[in-house]
Amino acid sequence: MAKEISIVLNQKIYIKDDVIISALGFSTEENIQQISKGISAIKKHGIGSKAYYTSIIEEELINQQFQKIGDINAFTKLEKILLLATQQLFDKNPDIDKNTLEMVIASTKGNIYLLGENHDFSEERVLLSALSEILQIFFGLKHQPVVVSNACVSSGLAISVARQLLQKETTENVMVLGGDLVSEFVLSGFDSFQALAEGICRPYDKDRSGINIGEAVAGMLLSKQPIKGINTAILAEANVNDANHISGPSRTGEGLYLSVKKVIALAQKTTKDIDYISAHGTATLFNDQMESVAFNRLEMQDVPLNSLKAYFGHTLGAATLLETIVANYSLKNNMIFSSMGLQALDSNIQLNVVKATINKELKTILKTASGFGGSNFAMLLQKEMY
Amino acid sequence: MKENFYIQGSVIIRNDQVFKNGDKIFQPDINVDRKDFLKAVYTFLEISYPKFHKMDDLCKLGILATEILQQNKPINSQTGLVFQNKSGSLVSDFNHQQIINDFASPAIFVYTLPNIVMGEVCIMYQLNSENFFFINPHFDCNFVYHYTQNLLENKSSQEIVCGWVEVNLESYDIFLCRVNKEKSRHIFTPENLKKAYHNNE
Repeated sequence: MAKEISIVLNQKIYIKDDVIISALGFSTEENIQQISKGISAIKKHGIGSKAYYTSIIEEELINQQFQKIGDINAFTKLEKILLLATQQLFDKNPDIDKNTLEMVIASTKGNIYLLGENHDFSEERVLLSALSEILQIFFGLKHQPVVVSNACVSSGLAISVARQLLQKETTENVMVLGGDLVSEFVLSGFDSFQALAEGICRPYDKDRSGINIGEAVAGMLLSKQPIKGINTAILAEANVNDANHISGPSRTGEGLYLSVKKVIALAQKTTKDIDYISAHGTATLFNDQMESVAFNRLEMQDVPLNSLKAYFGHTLGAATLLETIVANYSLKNNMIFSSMGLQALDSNIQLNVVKATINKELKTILKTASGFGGSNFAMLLQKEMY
Repeated sequence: MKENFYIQGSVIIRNDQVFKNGDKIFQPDINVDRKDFLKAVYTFLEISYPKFHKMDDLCKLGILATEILQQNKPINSQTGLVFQNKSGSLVSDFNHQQIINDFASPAIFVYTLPNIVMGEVCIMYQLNSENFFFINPHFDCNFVYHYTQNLLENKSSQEIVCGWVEVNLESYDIFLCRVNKEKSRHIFTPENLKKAYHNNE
C-alpha cells in the first residue's frame, strides 16, 4: 500500500503548451516580449464614475481576432477571450483528442459585470457554470469542463484538479484556463478596502500602497507524457488555509508556510533545491510582509524572488496560472525577470527580491499565491531532459 | 486496489428543516423568513460565536451544517473541504452590486467569493487544511466522490468534509458529509453519497 501511495504522489505532469492573453498581447510570446522590455499593462482607466490604475484588454482588439472564429455578439468579453485562448491551444496542438480531453476553468467572478448592465444574455450567464457550458459547446468537447473558484489561488488549484483528472487512465491531456475581467464590481470592492494603488503597484517596496487589478486569460495544456527534449514537470502542489481571517493574511504566514512545507515534502525535495520563487507580491502592506515572514520561517529568504504584479496587475482567477507561465519561461531560459516596481526594499521585508533581470541557472522553482478566504497555494516546477 | 473510506455522518439543511444522518433534528414552530430561520438554528445548536451574525447566508449555512457534523466528535485541523454549488456567492454579489454606486462596503464585498464559506469554517474550527470550491449546475455526486476519494487515497487529507452548499436569492440547499477511514455502516461510494444527499425524503 505504502508503495502505491508514493507512486501516485510522485506522478509528474508536464506543461505541454501555454497561452496568455492580456493587455500586453495575444500570446505567451507577445506577453514575454513586452515584459522583457519592462513594459507594464497598467494604465489609468475611467471605470464607472472613477479612474483606476488597472489593465484592460481593448474589446476592439478582441473582436478583430474573435470574428475569425465566431459571432462577436453572441459571447461576453470574458467568454471571447477564453475561447480565443483555447482556440490557440487547439491550433498549436492539432493532435488533441476532444473525446478524451478534460478541461478545468478557474475564475473568481466570471461574467459578474452583467449584474450591473442591461444586456441580452440570459440571467444564468452571470453564473460561473455558464463558462463551462459555453466552452464545451463551442469546441464540441465530450467532457464537461470543471469550474473551480477559490479567490486568488483559483487557477493554481485548477492545476491540482488537472493532476487528479490525469490520474484517470483514459485522460491524456487536460487544458487549464484561468480568467477574470476588470469590472466596477471588483474595483469598487477593493477600493472599499482602500487596497488600490495610486499608480503602478510596487511589490515589496518601502513605499508600496496597494494593488492594481488587471484582466487576463491564461491557459495551459498539461499532459502525462513528456516530450523529447526539455520539459517542465509540475512535481506537486499544495494548498493550506490560514484559519485566521477571511480578508487579511495571517501575520505569521501560517498557511503559506505550511503550503510550501507540504509541497516540498510531497516532491521529496528540500528548501535548498529551490532556485527561484515566483511569489504572489500584491503590493499590499500585509501580503508582502506576510510572505517575508513565511519565507524567513522556511529559511528561504536568500532565494531569488519576484512578483509580476506590476506588469499585469493582479489578474485574480488568472493570476497563478499566468505567473506560472512566465515562471516557466524563466525556468527554461535560465533568467529571472526584474520584480518591477521595486526601488527600495521595505526594511521590514527580508527577502532576496530581484531588482533587475538576472541570468541564473534554474532547475527547480517554486510558485506561490495567497488569497481571500485564507487560501494559500504552493507548487514546484522542475526542468527535465528526455 | 482501491482503499475504502466511510461516511461518518451527514447533515441536510433544506426547506427550513435540519436533518442529521437522515433524522429531522430541527424545524421552527412557525413559518419564518430565512434570516430568522438561520438564527433559530444557531440558537437551537447553542452556538456562541458573535462573528456568525456578520456572515452572509452561504457562510451561516456552511457553519451551521459543519457545527452539526462535528457535534459528537470535533473535526481535526487536517480536515480538508470539498464544496460545490451552482450560484457561487450570488446573494452577496447582488447585495454588493446594489450599493457600488454609492459606498461599497468591505463587510459585504468580502463575501462575494464562494470560497469564503470554507474560510469561515476553517477559522471557526481552526482547520489548516486544503480547500476546493467547485461550481456546477447541480450536485455532481460522482465528481465530488472521485475528488474526495482521490484526496484521501493520496493522503493529501486524512479526513474530508464534502458536499453541496447552494444558496441563491429564492432558496438554499445544504448537504455536507464527513468522510474518513474509520469503519462505519456507510462505505463512501457515489451511490451512498447520493443516498445521503436525498436522505430526508
